[in-house]
Amino acid sequence: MTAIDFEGETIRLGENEPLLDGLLRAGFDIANGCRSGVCQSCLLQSDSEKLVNCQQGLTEAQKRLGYFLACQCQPWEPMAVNRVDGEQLKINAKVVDKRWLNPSVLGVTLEAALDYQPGQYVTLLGRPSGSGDFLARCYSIANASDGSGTLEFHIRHYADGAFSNWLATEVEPGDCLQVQGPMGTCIYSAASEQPLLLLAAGTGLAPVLGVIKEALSQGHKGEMQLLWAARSPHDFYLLEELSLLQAAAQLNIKLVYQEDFADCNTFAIDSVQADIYNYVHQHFPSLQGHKIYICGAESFTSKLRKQCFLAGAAIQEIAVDTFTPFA
Amino acid sequence: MSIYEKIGGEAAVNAAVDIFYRKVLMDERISEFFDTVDMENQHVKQKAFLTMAFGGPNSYTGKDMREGHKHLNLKEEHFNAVAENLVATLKELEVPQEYIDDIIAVCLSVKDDVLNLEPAA
Repeated sequence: MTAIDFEGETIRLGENEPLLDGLLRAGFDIANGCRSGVCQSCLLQSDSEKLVNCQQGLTEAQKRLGYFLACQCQPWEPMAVNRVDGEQLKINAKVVDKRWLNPSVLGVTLEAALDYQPGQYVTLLGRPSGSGDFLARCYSIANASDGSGTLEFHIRHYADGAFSNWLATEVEPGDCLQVQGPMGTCIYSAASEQPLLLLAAGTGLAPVLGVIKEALSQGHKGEMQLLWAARSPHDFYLLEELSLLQAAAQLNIKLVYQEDFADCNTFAIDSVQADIYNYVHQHFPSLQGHKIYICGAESFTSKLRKQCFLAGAAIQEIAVDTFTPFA
Repeated sequence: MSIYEKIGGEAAVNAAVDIFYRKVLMDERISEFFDTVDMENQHVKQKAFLTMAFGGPNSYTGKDMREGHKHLNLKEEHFNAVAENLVATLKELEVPQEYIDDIIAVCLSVKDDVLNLEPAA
């Protein structure tokens, strides 16, 4: 009889009973299909280090995050198990800094004791004055997990966005928000020598920056190429920080903007006017063996994922973080 | 021993799935059916399909096949296009012809379900 903690409740597994069967027997509604480790319907998560023979077919990122297949899992020791990206505790977070990174992107730093992998995202919850309800929005964490206990976010400001406009106009350092998470699998999980291609659009820079910082702190040896796409050159931000990162490492950054613009010589970083899809197509005709990160709006991520896959990248080596617009 | 085991089990499926999926996406006869699907989900399904076709742990039922494809109104030519891509994939991986024949026989066994046809009497 192995005791399993599932979302705070204890269930007991019979001898050789797969975890999935035990959870279903206990009345939990767990999606499942093939029961032979193929369909991945019964994906769950655990921080246990005793996940044996139950992670076949998962991506490296999923493995690092403790994802596993419940139908293949026969624990012989007590362990705690959760649903993937399930309802998590909300923790309080204090605003410690707020500044405009460019006229439409707000940099917000929160103080919160959260375990996460750079590149993951959280739900921020806040209650604007005059609104009865908490508003919840998902944002990617932009800083490495360096033990500082802070979380940085790049928040696109929409004048008519209830949440982002509240952050922009009302929230001040010292105020409290709530944070729920972390979620997502867009994390640094490459082999040390593997070339990385990081593709970000707009505030898609945030998770990508987290991944880059984590790669650097883990001593990543392969080449890293960041292509940051935006409509206008005015949309870029944090260029000084990026240029410092680039100077210190085997990191190559290119800003790719769509609109015609006369004077970009002032940028501290290489820039080019181009269509990002054509640019990737021309400059990265073969992506076999690459680890790819794609972060931005749906049209950007889905188009580039397909393009990178057709250029030879393995599906499992393409990590995607798609932003849902407006907040 | 099943073909699945003979050709190398999960590793064989892993080798085949990206090649197969790439061919399908580039095939104009059928690529439109994949335009709106989530690639990661689809990749898992492709793996499950190949695992089944190779005679490995079987996760598909005829009912799943029928339900999963019904809304697409697929025609015989679409089914044949997928089968051709699968054969090309297996040839590229140098799978012996006799195994390919068996794998295609498995595919043909779910054809009525995929195309949502009445089972032959």
